[in-house]
Amino acid sequence: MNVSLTIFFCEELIMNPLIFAASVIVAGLAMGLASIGPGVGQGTAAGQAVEGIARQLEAEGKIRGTLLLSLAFMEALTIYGLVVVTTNDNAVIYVECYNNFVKEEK
Amino acid sequence: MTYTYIQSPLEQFEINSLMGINAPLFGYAELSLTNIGLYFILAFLVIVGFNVIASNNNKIIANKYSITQESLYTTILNMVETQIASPKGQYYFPFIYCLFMLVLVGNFIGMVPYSFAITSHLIFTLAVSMTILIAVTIIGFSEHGLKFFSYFVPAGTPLALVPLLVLIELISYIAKGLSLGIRLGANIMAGHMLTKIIGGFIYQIMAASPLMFVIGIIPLVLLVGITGLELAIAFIQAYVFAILTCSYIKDSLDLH
Repeated sequence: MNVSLTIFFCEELIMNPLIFAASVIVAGLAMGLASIGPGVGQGTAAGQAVEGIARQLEAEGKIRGTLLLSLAFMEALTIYGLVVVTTNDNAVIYVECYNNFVKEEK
Repeated sequence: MTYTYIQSPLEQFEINSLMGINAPLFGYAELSLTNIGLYFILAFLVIVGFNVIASNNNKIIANKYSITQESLYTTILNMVETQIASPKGQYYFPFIYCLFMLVLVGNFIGMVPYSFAITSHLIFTLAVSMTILIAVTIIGFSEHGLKFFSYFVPAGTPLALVPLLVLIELISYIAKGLSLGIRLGANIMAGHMLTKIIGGFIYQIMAASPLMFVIGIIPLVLLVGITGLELAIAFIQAYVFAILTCSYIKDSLDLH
């Protein structure tokens, strides 16, 4: 997505493929690592919620509400990883287009 | 017949000026109605229109909008009074109600295809959440005076660790405000990016040949499932935003 977006936004030659290769690897690594923690956490929370409902069927409404609230918090931690990848993407595109533009002027 | 082409899956987030005024006001500043401004006005009209229809010409017998409005009112009032368990809890109810309605209606308007999600822009969500952080600090100072700084020292810490702990608590306090805005903005932005990128790929699959059209129905079903997930996330994120704001107001009114 990094390389294709650069082709969308600046049609000059891509001067330094190492930067693009590095940013692609970093994107994959960041998203992968960012999914581990919240995945484990959400699984544990859902398991405990199901056990709670099994123990006491009257409290199902409250347990479901608390479960959804906790899942939203943990989901945000993975989304922080996605924000880092998107910011990295935009920074690479901006810096590379700027460098190409400056080199074209010279 | 004009053929509109969306060039990239990120084009849905672009802010374009719809009507502009180029005049020597404020030193040739760019005054214009942008598309995000139009969608804010649309959200405002939806909320006000809903409330006008729900008032039902001041009849006592309720129509369905009236029942929905009262149920929404009661839910949010219960949430505010449960979270901010203090005699001053009801002061903050109008603010939380407006915040919840704006984020909810904004998220739902963004789910309409070819529409624009106002809460997907970090500039809006971070502005609101940092303003809430400043407001919560001011509430704390006006309520407790200089004793508000005791919020940053947790109970029962040895005296030697206090300077380090105050620094960490300060950073965590600022991170509370940042994370509130980023959580909403990044969730909605990520959801929209995901559905548009998958939609682009499904189009390329299904446009290839009749066999691929039939095979492409499976990812299309997946896309419908993801859209349902996005609708649930739209509602849950609005609820989480409102309930966390209540929780921060309570933290600052009660100092733990």
